[in-house]
Amino acid sequence: MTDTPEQSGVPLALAPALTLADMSFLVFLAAILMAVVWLGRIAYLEGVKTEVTKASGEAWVQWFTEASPKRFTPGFEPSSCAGGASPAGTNGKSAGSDAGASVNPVPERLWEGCLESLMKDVEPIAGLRNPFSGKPLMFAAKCDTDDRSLVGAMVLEKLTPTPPGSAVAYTTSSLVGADIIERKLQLRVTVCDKGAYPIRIAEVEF
Amino acid sequence: MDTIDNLADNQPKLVGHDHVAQINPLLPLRKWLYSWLFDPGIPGNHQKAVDRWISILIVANLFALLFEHVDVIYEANKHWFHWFDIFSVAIFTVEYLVRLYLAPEDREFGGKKFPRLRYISSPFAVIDFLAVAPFFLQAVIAVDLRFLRSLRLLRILKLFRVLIPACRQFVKVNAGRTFRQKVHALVFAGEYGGTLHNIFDMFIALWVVVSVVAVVLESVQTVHYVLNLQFVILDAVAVAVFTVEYCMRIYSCVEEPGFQRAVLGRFKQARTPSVVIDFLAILPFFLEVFLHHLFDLRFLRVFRLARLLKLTRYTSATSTLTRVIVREWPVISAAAFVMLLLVVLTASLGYLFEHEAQPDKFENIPQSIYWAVVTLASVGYGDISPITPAGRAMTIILALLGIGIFAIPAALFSAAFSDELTKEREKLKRDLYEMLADGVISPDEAAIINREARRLHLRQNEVDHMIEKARNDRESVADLSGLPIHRIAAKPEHAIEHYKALLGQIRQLGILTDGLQFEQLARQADRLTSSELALWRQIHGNHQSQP
Repeated sequence: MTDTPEQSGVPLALAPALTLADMSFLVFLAAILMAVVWLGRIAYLEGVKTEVTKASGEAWVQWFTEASPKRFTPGFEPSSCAGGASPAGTNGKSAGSDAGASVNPVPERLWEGCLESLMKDVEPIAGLRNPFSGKPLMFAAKCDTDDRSLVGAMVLEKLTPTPPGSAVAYTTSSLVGADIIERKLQLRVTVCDKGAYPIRIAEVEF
Repeated sequence: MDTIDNLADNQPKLVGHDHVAQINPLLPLRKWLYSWLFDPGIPGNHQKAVDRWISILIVANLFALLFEHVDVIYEANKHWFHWFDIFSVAIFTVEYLVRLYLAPEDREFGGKKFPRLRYISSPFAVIDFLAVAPFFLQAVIAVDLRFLRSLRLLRILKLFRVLIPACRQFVKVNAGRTFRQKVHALVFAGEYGGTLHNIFDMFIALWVVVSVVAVVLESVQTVHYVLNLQFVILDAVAVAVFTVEYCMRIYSCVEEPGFQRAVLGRFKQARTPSVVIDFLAILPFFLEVFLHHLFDLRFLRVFRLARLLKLTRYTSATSTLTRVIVREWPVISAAAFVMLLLVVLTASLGYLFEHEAQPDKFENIPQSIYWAVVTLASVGYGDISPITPAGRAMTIILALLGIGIFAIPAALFSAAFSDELTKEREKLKRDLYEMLADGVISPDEAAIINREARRLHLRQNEVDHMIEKARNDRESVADLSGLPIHRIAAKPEHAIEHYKALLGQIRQLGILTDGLQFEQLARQADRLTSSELALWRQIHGNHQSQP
């Protein structure tokens, strides 16, 4: 085994100057580190976009939670999202699609009208945008990793309880414009992340 | 020259011996306490342990500080954070005060005027003070919580108490060496690395553990939801650390024996399993950032767990496993062949007996292979099971066969591992035997023993026992005449053996030499005293001529 200078008592020599290879290595190392920092920043910004998407979902959850107990009281705004029997003319569409619809002239409140009002008038929901595309928030039936256009989209699902004794407690279906919202609804809010994978935000009563 | 028995007095440090510090209990309390706790010049005292535990507490403080910034975690565990902070400050304060009390015993300040004042103004003491001052400050002045937290970052500076001496040692030992040699000393294990190399290894190992824990926690949706950004930052920092380590390793590997050529040597190093693992540990980060727009590369994240394999560099278990597999390969391959045969046979018979009864479960032979493996390996999930009498009868036989057949590789591995460890210990015993040829264990030999003892996970008493045995073996076969007389005299049984050997030599001498001439010369020139001559005659009997 070779003696170290300390062990052998050899006088300590001056450190040799850096060679061209040493300096090249240091420059390369600095470049690599800068690249890692740059890529890390990109990953961070992508992460921030996911956080913004989650915040959008949370804003929706908050609005649903706050609106849920109030919307069955008179004077709830926006009126298109109010619960209970709707007064005539509140919604543009009639409730029934069958022949009996002509018998009942009172139109029912639909999610379509509520969504339109929310996206137009109710803050902060009205100002929410998809951070990945920069466009207004988009709604999807479900997050699909094969469809990159769904990145940053929001998924609202309706949870319908199944009869007692069923294998599953409830079934899920996408909340669509034609859904009647006059009764209480159990909703699940999900957003799609940067890979269009679902991030479940919460289940709320509306 | 030192001998084996003098080993205890003048020995290089062996495994486990380093925790027995020789501190005189009759010393004054302050001097004794300093020697016991902080004196770096006394091997085996608690100085290293104090440094180690304080370092661990500092790192724990750093993590606590990071988690305090996550509101969800902080709000739910506010009290725990508070009590941990109090505990840390208490420990750091006690350390500061004890160091202040013992400052007159420190070589740096002792013997000078106002040693404690000098200690207080020393850089390390200032750092120690800054680490605890904000805590006491908030009791007096209302300080903003964020500002207070940032001040607590100063506790990291306490690590300099360990780092700076290690750096000084590294610089001293590597003086006159090239930059690349220094990088090599830092990254690769060797004689020039010293404490700084150990710290470097610990730093890398810490990041491996942290990043692997992060990967595991990322899979927990509730945790990932809360700590998404923190995981992103953590991964980027981990990749930066591992990338720097990788580059340093590739750059300096040409100083390693067998890798000296500038391009081919580095390429050869890059192909070694441990460096391939290093590369795999950082690759997913770069691929995911560059290509995530084109493909879904989330599956690559699981490869970050490969970082755990980086720890294999610090243990000999994998090399032992490789040796065992290579050594036992013919038997393992034979067992694998029999297993394969049995699996195919079982699957075929299962298909034959059960296909008609359960066409959905035993649809074809490939599908039956799943059932065969589950049955032969004694797992028995029960999702597929035979229902025909013939199928069930066959399953009974095959399940019993499976126990034996599948147990063979396990038994082989177990025996081979045990055998390999025994071999390695025997090799160490032989090495010890060789080392003790000169009756002394040199510092270089002690370093080898320590390294091997750590590798083989030997305790102090085991090493002592092996040394003792090697010493006894050597002494039992050694030519005692080659040893110094006081060594022989130290043991009566050796003295008797030596005496007998000497008598034998004298008898031989008497037989081979001319006895008459011997006596004449001894008498004429007074070369032997009368008592010496009488003894000579006594040894050789009365057949020699009388005066």
